[in-house]
Amino acid sequence: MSTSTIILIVVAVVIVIILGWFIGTSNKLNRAVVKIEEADSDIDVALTKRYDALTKMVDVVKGYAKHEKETIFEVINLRKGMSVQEKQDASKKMDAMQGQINVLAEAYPELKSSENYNTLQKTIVDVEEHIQASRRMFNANVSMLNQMIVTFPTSIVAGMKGLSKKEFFEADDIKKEDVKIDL
Amino acid sequence: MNELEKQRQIVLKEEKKHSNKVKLFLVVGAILFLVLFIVHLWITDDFSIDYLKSIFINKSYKYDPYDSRIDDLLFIIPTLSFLILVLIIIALRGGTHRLNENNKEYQKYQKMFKNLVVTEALKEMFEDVETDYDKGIPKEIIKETEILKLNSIYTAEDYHKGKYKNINFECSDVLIQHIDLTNKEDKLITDFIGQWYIFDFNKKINGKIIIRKAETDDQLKPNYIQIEDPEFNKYFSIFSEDRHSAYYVLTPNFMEKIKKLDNEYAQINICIFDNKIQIGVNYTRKDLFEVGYHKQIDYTEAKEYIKSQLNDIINIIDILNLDNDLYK
Repeated sequence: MSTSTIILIVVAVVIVIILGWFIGTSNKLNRAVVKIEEADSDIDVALTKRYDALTKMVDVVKGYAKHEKETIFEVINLRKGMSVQEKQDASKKMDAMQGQINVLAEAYPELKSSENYNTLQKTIVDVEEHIQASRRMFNANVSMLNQMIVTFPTSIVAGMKGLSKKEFFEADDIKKEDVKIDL
Repeated sequence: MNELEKQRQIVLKEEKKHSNKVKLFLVVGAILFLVLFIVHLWITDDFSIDYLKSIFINKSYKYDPYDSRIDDLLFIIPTLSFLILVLIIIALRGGTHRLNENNKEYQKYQKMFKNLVVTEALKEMFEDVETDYDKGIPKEIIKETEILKLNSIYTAEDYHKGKYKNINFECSDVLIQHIDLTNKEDKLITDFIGQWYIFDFNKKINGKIIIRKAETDDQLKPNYIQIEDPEFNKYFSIFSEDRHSAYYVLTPNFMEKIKKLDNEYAQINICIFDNKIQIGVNYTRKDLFEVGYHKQIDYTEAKEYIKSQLNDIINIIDILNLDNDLYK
C-alpha cells in the first residue's frame, strides 16, 4: 500500500469521526432544545389552568363581596408564543390576584369557609405545584443546554446552529418553596 | 392468653420430643462413629488386617497389599465415619435447641400470637383494620414496581391493612429472590427482604414513577430521569414515562423527605402509580411478628413490642406527609 493511500485512508477516517461527532452533538443540542420547548409548553398549560381557576375564584368571591367598590382584579392576557419574561409577568400578576383574594377571604369569613372557595383554593394550589414542576423542568433543561453551549468543543456546533444561551424562568422567592396555603 | 400459653406448652413438649429424637440420633451416631473408627484403626494396622479379612472376606485369605477390595474398605470406612461426624455436628447445631419452622404446632402458636396480640395492637393503633396472616400483598401488584425479575421467586405473608390519618394502607412481609443464571452454579440471590407498604397517594399523575437506589447502568435504561438535585440523582434513580409527573411529585421538599426516610431505613424502593405509593423497606429479616416460645409471654410487653414494629407505618405517613389532602 502506497504512502498516499495510507494518508487518504487516515484523512477519510478522521473526516468520518469528525462528521459522526458533529451529527451526534447536533442531535444532542436539538434534543435539548425540544425538551425546553416541551417544558415551555407545560408552563403555558399550567399558567392557563391557574388563570382559569383564579377566574372561577373571582366569580365565587364576587358573590360574597358584592359591596367591594374597588376593581381589584387585573386583566391578564395569556396568549400563545409569550416570551419567558411575559410569562413571568403574567405569573406575578396572578400572584397579586391570589393575594387580593386571600385578603378578601380574611374579611369575609363565610367566603373562607364556603365549600366552593376551599375546593378552588385546593385546585389553585395543585395548579401552582404543576407550574413549579414545569418551571423546574424548564430551568433544568435550560441549564443543560446553556452548559453545552459554553463548553468547548460543543460550543462550535452550537455556534454553527445559531444557538444562544436561554433565559431561565425565575420564581419569586416565596414560590421557590413548596406551595403552602393557609385554608 | 390462656390459649396461647397452652399452645406454648404444646410447642415446648414438641420441642422436647424433637430433642429426644435428636439425642437418640446423636447416641446412635456416636456409637457408630466409634465402632467404625476402631474398625478403621484396626484395618490400617497390618497385623490385624489378615485377621479381619479372614473374618469378613475370606477365611483362607492371605494378605495382599495390592488387593483393591482392601483399598475400597480403607476408603469407605473413614468416609462413612466422616459423614456420621458431620451429621452429628448438624444435629448438635440445628436440631437440639429449636423446632423446625414447618412444625405444625409451632406454626399454630405463631398464628395464635398474631391473631391475639398483633391484631389487637393493630386495632389500637389504626382504624378499619383487616388481617390475613396467611397471605401477602399479591405478586401482580408488586410486579408494577419492576423490582421483580422474570425468574423471581416471590413469597409474602402477614398481610394487614388499615387507616391512619384518613390514609389507607396495606402491608405485608415480602421476600423476593431470583436464581442467578449467569453463574455456573445456580445461586439464589435475594433482591428484597422486608416490609412492603402501600399507601394512598393524593397527587394524580400520568403513568408511574419509580424511585430506587442508583445503580451504575441505570442511566442507560429507558425512561431514566435526572432531576435538578444532583445529590438526589447520586443516591436514587428515577424512572418515569412522564417527566412532568416526576417533577410534580418530586418537589424539593418531597425529595428531602425521601432522603430522610432512606436514612432511617437500610434501603427503600418507591413506586407511585394509580393514586398509590408503594414503599418497600428492606430489613435484615422478613418476619417482624415472629415470637419466641421459651419464655412465657407477657401480653402487655408483647403488644408494646409489636406496636413498636408497626410504628413504621405511622413514621412513613408522617415523614412523607401523605395525609396532606390538598390534592384530593
